[in-house]
Amino acid sequence: MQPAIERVPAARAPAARSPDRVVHHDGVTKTFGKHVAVDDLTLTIPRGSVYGFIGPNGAGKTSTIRMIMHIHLADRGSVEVLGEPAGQRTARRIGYLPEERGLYPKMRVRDVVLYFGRLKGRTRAELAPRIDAWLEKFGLTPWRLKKCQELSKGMQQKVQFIATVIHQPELVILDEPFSGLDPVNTEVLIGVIEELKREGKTVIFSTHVMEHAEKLCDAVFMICKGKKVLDGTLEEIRARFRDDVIEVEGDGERAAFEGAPGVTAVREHPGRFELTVERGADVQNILTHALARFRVRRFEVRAPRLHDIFLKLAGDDAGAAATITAKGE
Amino acid sequence: MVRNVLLVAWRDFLAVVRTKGFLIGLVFMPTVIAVSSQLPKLFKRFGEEGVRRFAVVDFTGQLAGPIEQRIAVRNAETDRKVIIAIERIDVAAMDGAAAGDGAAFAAAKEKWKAELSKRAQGGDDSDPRRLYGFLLIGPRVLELPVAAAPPAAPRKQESDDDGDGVSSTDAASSVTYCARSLTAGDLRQVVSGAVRDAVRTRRMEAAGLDVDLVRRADSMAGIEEMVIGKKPGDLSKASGPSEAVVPMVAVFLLLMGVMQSAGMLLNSTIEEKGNRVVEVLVSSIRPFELLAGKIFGAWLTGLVLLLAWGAAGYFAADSVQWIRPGMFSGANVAWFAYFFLFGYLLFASLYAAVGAMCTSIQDAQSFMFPIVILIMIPMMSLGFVMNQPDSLVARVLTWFPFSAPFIAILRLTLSPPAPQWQIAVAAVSVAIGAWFLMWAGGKVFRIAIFSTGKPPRLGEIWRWLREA
Repeated sequence: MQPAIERVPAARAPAARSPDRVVHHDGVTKTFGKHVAVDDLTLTIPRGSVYGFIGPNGAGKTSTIRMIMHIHLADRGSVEVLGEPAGQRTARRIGYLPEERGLYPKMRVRDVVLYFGRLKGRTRAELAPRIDAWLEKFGLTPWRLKKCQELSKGMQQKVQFIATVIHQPELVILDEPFSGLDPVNTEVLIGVIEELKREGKTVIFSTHVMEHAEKLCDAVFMICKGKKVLDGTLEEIRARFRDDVIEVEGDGERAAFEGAPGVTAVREHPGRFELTVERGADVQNILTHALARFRVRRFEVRAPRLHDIFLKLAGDDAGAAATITAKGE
Repeated sequence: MVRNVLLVAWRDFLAVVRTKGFLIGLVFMPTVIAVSSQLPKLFKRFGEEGVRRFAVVDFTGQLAGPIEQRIAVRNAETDRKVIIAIERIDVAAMDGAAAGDGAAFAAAKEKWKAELSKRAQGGDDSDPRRLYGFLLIGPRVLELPVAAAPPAAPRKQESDDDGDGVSSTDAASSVTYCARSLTAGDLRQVVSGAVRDAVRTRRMEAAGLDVDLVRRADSMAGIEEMVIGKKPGDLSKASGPSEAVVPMVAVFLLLMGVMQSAGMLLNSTIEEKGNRVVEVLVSSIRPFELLAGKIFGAWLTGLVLLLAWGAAGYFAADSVQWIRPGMFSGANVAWFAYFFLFGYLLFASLYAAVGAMCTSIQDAQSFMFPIVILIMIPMMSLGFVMNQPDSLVARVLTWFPFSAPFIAILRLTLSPPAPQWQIAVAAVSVAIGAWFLMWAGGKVFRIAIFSTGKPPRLGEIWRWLREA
């Protein structure tokens, strides 16, 4: 059985460094004890792009990111960041917002941002005006002298984001940046990410919310059980996963669609069914099949969304996902 | 690298020293030391004032006068706030019982007890006739006791005439001290001392002894204690406290400095791991820089405490002349600083590794137990080392890395101080121990700081040490 995505052959000889890429994993493997967190991963992230890392929990996203940050070292393969091997020097040029947020509860907002900025090698004089500007942008100026523990969770998240970008990094890595944010602040953060993109910064962010990935990303990388199962621009991915999705609303049982010609998967939602159909399947036949067994109120054919592709690939089990995908292709 | 270490150290230092708890601890301990050293003076200054009137019923007819004289001498001392007034009662004139038989004395004694206690109970302090207490001096007090009887043959109990547990014969040769308070020990000592002195003087006079000669003979009995120094003829005055208390306090100060700092390090490591700051930190600096910064920051906080407490302790001890010359020489202070630094590094490495492995103080408890045992070894052996400072056990403890900082400081401040070569061996032992634990602790810290869930097992820690 072939994997979902044909992997880029792992080049064992160091690839030529290119100014157009900010991150390059080359045949990287990372294990923790007997658990293989990342398995022979090759991945290239071009400069100036917004790259989405998606995958189920425990798939290996954070381990991949931590290797970029030089927090974890690869057991095999190489990680190149900003034109040089990942290390302490490259880590300073990256802004990193980890999934597990953390601030010093008793430190004042301004001091904590200053501290993190200084750890990244910036001076107090450089940071001071930027801190004020960022606090103003996020509406945190009145809170600048408050202790972090006095802030709401959403506010703390904003402070953490400011601390991530305060040293003007070339690469920004955001691990689940939207978790815990209300819709208003989510929009604010989306705006900031778009602004970073306009400034030519490269942004990597991991998310479980496919709408965010679709809205913000130029390209998406998906990992399942440590293996890369998806990598490319959204256009490429959509072109590859051309299987249509049919949404059906009406009265009847799920069994009505089982055995329908060309239907590869049926998902039941309250009041509607979602059918994944093979590429090139005759939709008219499926409709006829459904009408014979189901009282149809709505029948709509649409292009697959990233969410559909994610579910298809991840499913409940990555192995099964690979099987489905291979069948789909 | 140094910049990062200093940044982390300074943040951790400020995070602790800005807390109210630290400031209170910083001020509280020196205050306690200063106050306790000045307490006797304060008590004297703000103590009771006024006149305490004692009636003296002297059935010998010879002692009231000398007692009064001795009390007058005491009253004349400049810093006396409580004056003792003596009211002599002439019993011979009043009831003629002075030389009477036992039964007559017992009756007279009861009479005076009743009468004088009435004067002590009634009225208030402004009443000049109100008594604070009284003395009943038996008629045979001046008689010399019979030569000591063999202990196996107790004296035959005389009849107990008045039912107070003392026979009339015994009562006649004793002094009764009655006062409104027996806990006012100072007054009791002064008055009974004056009685004892007067009785002894009269007895010596009666025996034809030269009282002045006996006094002078007594005064020669004091023993002056001196410590023999290293140079010929180098003798310095010593006192019990300077030889025992000061070295102990120095060791405890060192221990508290080390433990306070290491404890702060443990807390801040657990806190950073718990609130997830650590991932942001190690994405900016190396784990070793973080560890070094944290260790240095906690050491600085301990140093501030130690300087404050040490200075307060030194001046307090010096004000009561407990510091023997040479006890805290420049070399000894340098050794103290050295053992504080390396002793701290030794324990800090262990504490940092434990902090990195745990997500809560509760988790850390089980790991702390063996470390506490290591700390207890020198503490439990302090008494032994003071008694036998050059024994084999004392030397081994001086060189065992975990006890070396404390035992070495103790032996340096004892008299005679430990040979310098023994201290040098201790210094090397502590430095090697600290280096090894920094290396091992650093390895564990690097991996453990990202671990989640329950603390690792020993097998897992061993694997980290081999793999990292």
